[in-house]
Amino acid sequence: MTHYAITIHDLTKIYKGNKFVLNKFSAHALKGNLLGLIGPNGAGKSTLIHLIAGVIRPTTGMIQLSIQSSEKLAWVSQTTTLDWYLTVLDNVRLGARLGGLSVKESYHAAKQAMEILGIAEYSHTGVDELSGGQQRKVQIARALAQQADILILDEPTIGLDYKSSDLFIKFLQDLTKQGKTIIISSHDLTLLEKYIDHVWVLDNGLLKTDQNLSTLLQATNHSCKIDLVVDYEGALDDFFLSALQSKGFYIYNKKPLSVSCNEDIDTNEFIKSLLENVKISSIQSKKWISFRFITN
Amino acid sequence: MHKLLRINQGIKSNQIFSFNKWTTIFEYELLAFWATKGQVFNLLFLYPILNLLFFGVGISSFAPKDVSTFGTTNYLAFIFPGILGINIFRTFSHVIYRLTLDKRYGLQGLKIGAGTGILGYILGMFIVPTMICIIQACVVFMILIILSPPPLGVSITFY
Repeated sequence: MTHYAITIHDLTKIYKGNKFVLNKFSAHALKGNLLGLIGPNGAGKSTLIHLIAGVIRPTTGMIQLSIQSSEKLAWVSQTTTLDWYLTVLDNVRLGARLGGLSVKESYHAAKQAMEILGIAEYSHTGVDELSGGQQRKVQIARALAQQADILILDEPTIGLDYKSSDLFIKFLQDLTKQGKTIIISSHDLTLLEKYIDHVWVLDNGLLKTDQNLSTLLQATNHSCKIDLVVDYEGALDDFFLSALQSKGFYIYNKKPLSVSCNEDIDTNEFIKSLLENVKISSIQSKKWISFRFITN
Repeated sequence: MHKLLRINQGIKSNQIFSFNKWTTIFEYELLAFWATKGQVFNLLFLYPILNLLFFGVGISSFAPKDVSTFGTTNYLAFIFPGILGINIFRTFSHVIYRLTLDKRYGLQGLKIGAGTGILGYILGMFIVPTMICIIQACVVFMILIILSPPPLGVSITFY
């Protein structure tokens, strides 16, 4: 029997001026899944998250959540949602208290969440004294302290360094193994690709893709990209670099040479031609999903 | 056992009042109030005393000495409701500020959405300032008794 944590049926949101932000969105989220919500800016991701969190009201449609009560749903807003009067500990503890924990339990849950996010040392610091990334961590810790069954995170990795983001998403993946359902909206596809089970792709308020990640990667092979970072000794001339560009390589950086290309381009040929010009010390490659398939 | 929770009306359709969550909102308002310790003293004691001194003792020196000007009530008793009004206005302005901050920074949605309910949220936000106003009233009342002509307190009559 299939267990759905979230069932969305014909969800439509129209803002003033008859602007469709979401148009007849219907989908399911399986219990225990880490679901990636991706799409370009203005696609309707945040609106969808606010609707699921129950913060705003849909124009039409329905959302069903398989939870005991609304306190079993935690969400992290894209904007900074903190009580500026309070310390880090009290802000994090708010999640636990709203999650139904007693005062004593809330201290324990908050400390655990802060340790996971690496902000335990700032317990008694005012949130206004923290950096943007640390404030983000406080918000995430508050959601974790709520001990909810469904977690919805709107671009939680904004402001976090790569290592923290990676550790955090990996931790979320571990949480899904405990039966929690997590929806995460992010533009960091490289990071999402490593951990998510399922993907919803939104564009212009429409659900373009609702698939298992592995199925999606197979189906959209043409839209995958490869990043190559080459460390080399010597110098590359402009003629070589412009030749690379004409072959479909996008150059981010000259030294170390950082390029991106579509998956169908032969990267072996690129490495051969590079070897003719310089001595290569190391090569790193990474395949990632391109936003291109959203608009295709 | 999990049940299906249907959301189709946004936060406005959620539970109206939850006692547990109401106490959380109250607890956090108390924490926020306590976080500004200087303000605790100012709001509870300094502002009521200053208002009383300014409007009561200061301005009363310009008032005619004949108590019959104010009927059977002496001047200090006469201004008591006014002083309370000023204090209530100042205290509740702070709540409006807190409510605006909550709305602006999305905490309102978070608190109400977690099952506090609109009534629980509003009650939770207003209980601390109400307590402050009661304490202020007591402070003002005690000072009035001390400053009023004898017999103490007897002269305070409201119409």
